[in-house]
Amino acid sequence: MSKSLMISLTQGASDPDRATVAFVVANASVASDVETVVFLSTEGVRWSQKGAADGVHETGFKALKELMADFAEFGGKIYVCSPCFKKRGLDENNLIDGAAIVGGAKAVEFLTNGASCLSY
Amino acid sequence: MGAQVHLRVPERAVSGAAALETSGAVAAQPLPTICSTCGAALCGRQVVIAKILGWSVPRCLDCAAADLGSSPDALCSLVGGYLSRRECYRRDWMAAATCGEDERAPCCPGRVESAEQPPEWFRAELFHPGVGLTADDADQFVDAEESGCGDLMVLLLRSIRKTPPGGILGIRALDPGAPADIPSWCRLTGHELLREGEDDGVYYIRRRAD
Repeated sequence: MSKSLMISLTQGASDPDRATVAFVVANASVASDVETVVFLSTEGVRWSQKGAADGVHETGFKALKELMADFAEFGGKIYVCSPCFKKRGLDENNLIDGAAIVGGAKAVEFLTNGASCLSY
Repeated sequence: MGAQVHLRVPERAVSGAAALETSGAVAAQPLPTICSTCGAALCGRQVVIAKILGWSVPRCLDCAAADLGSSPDALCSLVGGYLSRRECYRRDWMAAATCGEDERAPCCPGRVESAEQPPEWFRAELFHPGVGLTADDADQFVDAEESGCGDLMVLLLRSIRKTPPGGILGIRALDPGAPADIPSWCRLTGHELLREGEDDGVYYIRRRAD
């Protein structure tokens, strides 16, 4: 049975609901002793920047900023797709806690080591 | 029926971690698993019996008993006495998938647990340790109210960390997903679910000792 999970998030500020649910599930996973990575790519990389989640608070859920802080607190990792990051001119010095810029190989390695994957 | 069995059940050294790994394998094993001798479908508890007897492949109670010159009932009784003294195997037994409607196997919980006279080795305080627990028995009690999914799991993790190893956490959780999520969380993390929510939404969980 796999004890690792990758959650792929490709939606940015145009779909805060999807980003919120992705982190809610990520927290369910990391709080259940499952090694959990959130992989941000395409527009999802925007969540890697400090301040991007400010003001995002979907009905029925904790604020996104708080969800992301919980995820980092419990050891969840955030992989940020390097080409998507560079394409959007984002700031490497403004990454949120737990985030690391990676290439495709890192994500593929995590998956091929037995992780399951869920996409938002 | 057959000769009396003088079977030495292996006193194997199984670590807690190995028992949990076994538990995961047994609990996750999809039904039907089949007997390696006759191909009959097996319930999870027959798989636990095979593991206790030291077999690397499972066999049904009929084939196992025939091999040993015994009967399914006698074999269950022998193994049952052993597993009632071994917490790791007892947890495997309780977590294992059951037969469903097929009540022919002697180990089937429907026969054992609802019998007028359950076998000597089946003691409610061992196999249903959550019976009779109240908030006073808990080292810590939290009210999750309507929290669910990730928020509930985060609260569980924070709360269990405040509970002493081997201690009991009580949690009231009313989210409709909680009856599925809390047992899943316990299986994933290795903490023992003593009591499920039932009508009051109150669960009791024993923090693992390590």
